[in-house]
Amino acid sequence: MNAIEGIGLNVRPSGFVLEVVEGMGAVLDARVVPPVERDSGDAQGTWMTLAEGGWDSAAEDRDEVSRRDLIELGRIIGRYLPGVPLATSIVLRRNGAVAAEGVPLSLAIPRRHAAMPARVPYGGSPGVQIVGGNEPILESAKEDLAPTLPLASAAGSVDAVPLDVRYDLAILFAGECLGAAAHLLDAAVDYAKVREQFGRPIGAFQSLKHLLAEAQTHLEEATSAVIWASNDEAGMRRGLRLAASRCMSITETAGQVHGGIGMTWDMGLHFFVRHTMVARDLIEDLTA
Amino acid sequence: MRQAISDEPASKFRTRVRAWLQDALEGTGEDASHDAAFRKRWDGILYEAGFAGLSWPTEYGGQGLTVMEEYIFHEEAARVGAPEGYGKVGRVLVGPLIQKHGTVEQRDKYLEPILRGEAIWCQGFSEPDAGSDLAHVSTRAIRNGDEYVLTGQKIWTSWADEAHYCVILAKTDLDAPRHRNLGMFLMSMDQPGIEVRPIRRINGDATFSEVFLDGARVHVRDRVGGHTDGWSLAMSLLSDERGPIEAITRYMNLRGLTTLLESCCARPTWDAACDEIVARVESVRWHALRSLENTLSDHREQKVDAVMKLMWSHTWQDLARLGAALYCPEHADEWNRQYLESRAASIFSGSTQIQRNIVAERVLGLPR
Repeated sequence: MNAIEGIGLNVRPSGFVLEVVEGMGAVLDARVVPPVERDSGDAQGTWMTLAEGGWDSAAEDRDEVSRRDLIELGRIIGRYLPGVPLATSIVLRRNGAVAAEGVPLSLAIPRRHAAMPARVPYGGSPGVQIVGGNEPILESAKEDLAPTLPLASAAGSVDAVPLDVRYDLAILFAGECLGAAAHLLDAAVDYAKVREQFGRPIGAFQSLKHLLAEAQTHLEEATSAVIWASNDEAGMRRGLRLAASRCMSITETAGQVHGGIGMTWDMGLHFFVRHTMVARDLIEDLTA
Repeated sequence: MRQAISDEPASKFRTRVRAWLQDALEGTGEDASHDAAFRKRWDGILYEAGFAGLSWPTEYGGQGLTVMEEYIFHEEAARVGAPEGYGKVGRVLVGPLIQKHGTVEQRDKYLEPILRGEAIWCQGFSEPDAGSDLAHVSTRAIRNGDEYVLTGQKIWTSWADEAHYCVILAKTDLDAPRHRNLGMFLMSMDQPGIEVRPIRRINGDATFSEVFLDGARVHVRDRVGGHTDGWSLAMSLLSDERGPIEAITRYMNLRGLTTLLESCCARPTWDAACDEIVARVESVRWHALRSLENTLSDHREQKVDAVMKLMWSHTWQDLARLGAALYCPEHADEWNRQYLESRAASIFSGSTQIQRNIVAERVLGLPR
């Protein structure tokens, strides 16, 4: 813990979680292919490696890993988008889910408008166990705006999700948005340094510099907003909504800087946009 | 630099500050922060009570505490509407500059009067032809024996009409290249050869001035650093101006405005735009806390500090714009005042465009 002395706030991540992030990042870096190549990837193998390493239990010890620390776990997942139920497993195991080791976990998240069916992130993934109350029957029709964060519909009524689970998961998904946005901003900055027009790198033009500087400002503002929400439940809805909106605007800037190539399926920027869009919508349900 | 003179925990410090502020402000009413006579006395009152220079070392008359206590004090002071003393430029800019780069003689002469509230300082940087391009200053400081003789013009100089001293940037070497041709001086304002003409701002007040220099004199012992160290000293000084304590002070003012927004904007007119601006205001606080915690643990993160001024200045402008557009009859005057006052926030202390250049080139590493 490194709460600011006397104010009792968790501003910086713990040393413990930074080590976890380093380890998890190494696994993701070795295993995960870019989302655009996911057909050639091995999501099941990635899950097995993560589970064998115990990374799905990374936040089990609440004394070691604060809610603020969950941002860092989300952020590293968001940079890679492995497309496996890691976020949900981390949060459910942290909140005392009873399940065999290594089993991927998820839950049914009721919609903020009760008339619509609840949604299960990664509901159709191999071996996934739905935690909490009666196991809902999954509808075959899947919402898959984001291939890296597929949603199944749960038929019938589902149990309410405990507040700690909702808020932990909202923070972790917000962390994923930060990670996805940071990944796209890095890509845009790298591209601006090498892509030349008018005889020089486009990143040397002040119009692009200021666009990217504003995106960087938004990324830091979004980070501070999520840190607020992780410390103060009063900030949960407003803070995370601001953060998600900022992350979306960063993805827009990244697309703009890439130009035409950024608008193509094969470039793959859109997977990070899609993931952010779906995570944002789940955050709304979790904090409603 | 931490020299804790007491082991008082932060929560106790906060309680002590809160109690003291309540006594000190008793009977002053809500206008304490606008009462010029009271504001002039305020720094001296803080000094007598042991709340001046909280994070300054004790050897310079400070309390030897940390920026944490500075943060707590500013938060409590803003909460109850305590005034901002006239000594801000001295406390925030000149004091740290002299502590880091001044001579023993300069420290002895200048530091304690700043804390006592006896010396008001102004900052002579900008000129008519040197705004964002600060390195282009053309005021000259020509060495003549043991003195420098200053000729030229400064502008946008806050507090100049009240100041006893001016920390001033001037050209000392007329032939040297940019960034290696400037000196920095601690100049007395009480001398012939200096004329101050207040400038009325768009909000109606006149808190900044033009300063005309025609043969003003500074002794060589009042030069900070070497003959041509002015530029690097100016950069060090500007980074102090953009730090977490300034952001926290701004946050507290913004938070007061969000309370006003809530009273103006009762449901059903409350909408997503109001929610977002409140979240942005809180994010300013948490951002400043990130910077503060970094400062306390000697862990600088340029990416955090570099965007702080951009964040609070644009949050203020957008909040004021939103408030003014609510057409809330009870508080229209305040919103209109805030709107006009906030317009300068993206210009002073490094314009938005300069700040974005800094983020793009130094944080993101884009080509110059």
